[in-house]
Amino acid sequence: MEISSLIIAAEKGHAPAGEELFAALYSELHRLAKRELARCGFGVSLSSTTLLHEAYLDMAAREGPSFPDRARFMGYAARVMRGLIIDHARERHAQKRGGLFEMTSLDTEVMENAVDHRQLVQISDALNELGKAEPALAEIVDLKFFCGFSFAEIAAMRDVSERTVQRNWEKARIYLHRKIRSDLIL
Amino acid sequence: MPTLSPDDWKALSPYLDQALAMSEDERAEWLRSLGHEDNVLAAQLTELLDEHMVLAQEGFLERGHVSLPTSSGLAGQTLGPYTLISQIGERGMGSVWLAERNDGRFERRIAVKFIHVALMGKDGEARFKREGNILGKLTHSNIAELVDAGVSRAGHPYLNSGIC
Repeated sequence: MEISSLIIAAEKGHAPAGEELFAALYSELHRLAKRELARCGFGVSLSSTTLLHEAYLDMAAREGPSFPDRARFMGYAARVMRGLIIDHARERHAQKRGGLFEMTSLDTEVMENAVDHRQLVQISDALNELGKAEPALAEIVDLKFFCGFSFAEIAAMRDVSERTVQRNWEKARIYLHRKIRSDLIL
Repeated sequence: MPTLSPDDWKALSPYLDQALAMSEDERAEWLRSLGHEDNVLAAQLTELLDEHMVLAQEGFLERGHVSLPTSSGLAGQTLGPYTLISQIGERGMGSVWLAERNDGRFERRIAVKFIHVALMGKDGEARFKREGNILGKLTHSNIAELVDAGVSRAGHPYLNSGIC
């Protein structure tokens, strides 16, 4: 099924379509990452922001006018990107040395090197909880922390002020920190 | 409020929106007047907003500073007139704790920064001293004010900086 029809079905609350959508996006992003790396050569850094932009252009060109707008697409794709980054970090940890490729994002460049995969999993678990309570806040964290989008870019994507995005980010951060801390105590 | 249930969060969420849109001065005033109406709510919000100030200062989840909280046995221990509440961050060089006055003289929450002695070495000690000296000289609303510096009973050097 095409990504656009999956998005429509998922938005109508069809859970299997949601799962299929994420699986399809995952393999699409993974495929693109490999293609870019093959083109640019081994050992190159690939920014997740660039990857998402490329993915959007690629899929929109393929599926034509029925493809959703960039903001909606990025919302789904950013969550998928989180999974991809965590799997990549886990893989790299398992190999005890550089994995197949380096994946970085603009202002979280250090993230992948500084944070180990277990911490990423902790953040991701807390983020899933936040997603249940306030999906819009969780999406900002995916876009900013995992994909490296700036407040300005996220604001433009959602057509809200930068200040609003920043405030939501700060709120999300309080939630995540709390959640991770209480998970440790329990 | 050690843990936050989904219901707690739902109740606090709109207040956080309001509070985060305010300047620090406005927020303090707002919390004071809210405290007259609903003491518990104001206390919960104060705790979360204190945490926010520390996370903002630390750059939590920004620029690669993740500093996830870790479980450690220092909670409840006293440091001079302060009681350690919970660890709010950890770095390679040390950890940061939220603490409050325990002598009831005034209400104040501070951040306490511990330096891992084992990791300190000569450079660490010099850096720690320098940070203490510099912070001691600076007073600005955006910079945590140095309240105290010393060595804990367990022998860990620490810096205290005010966060509200």
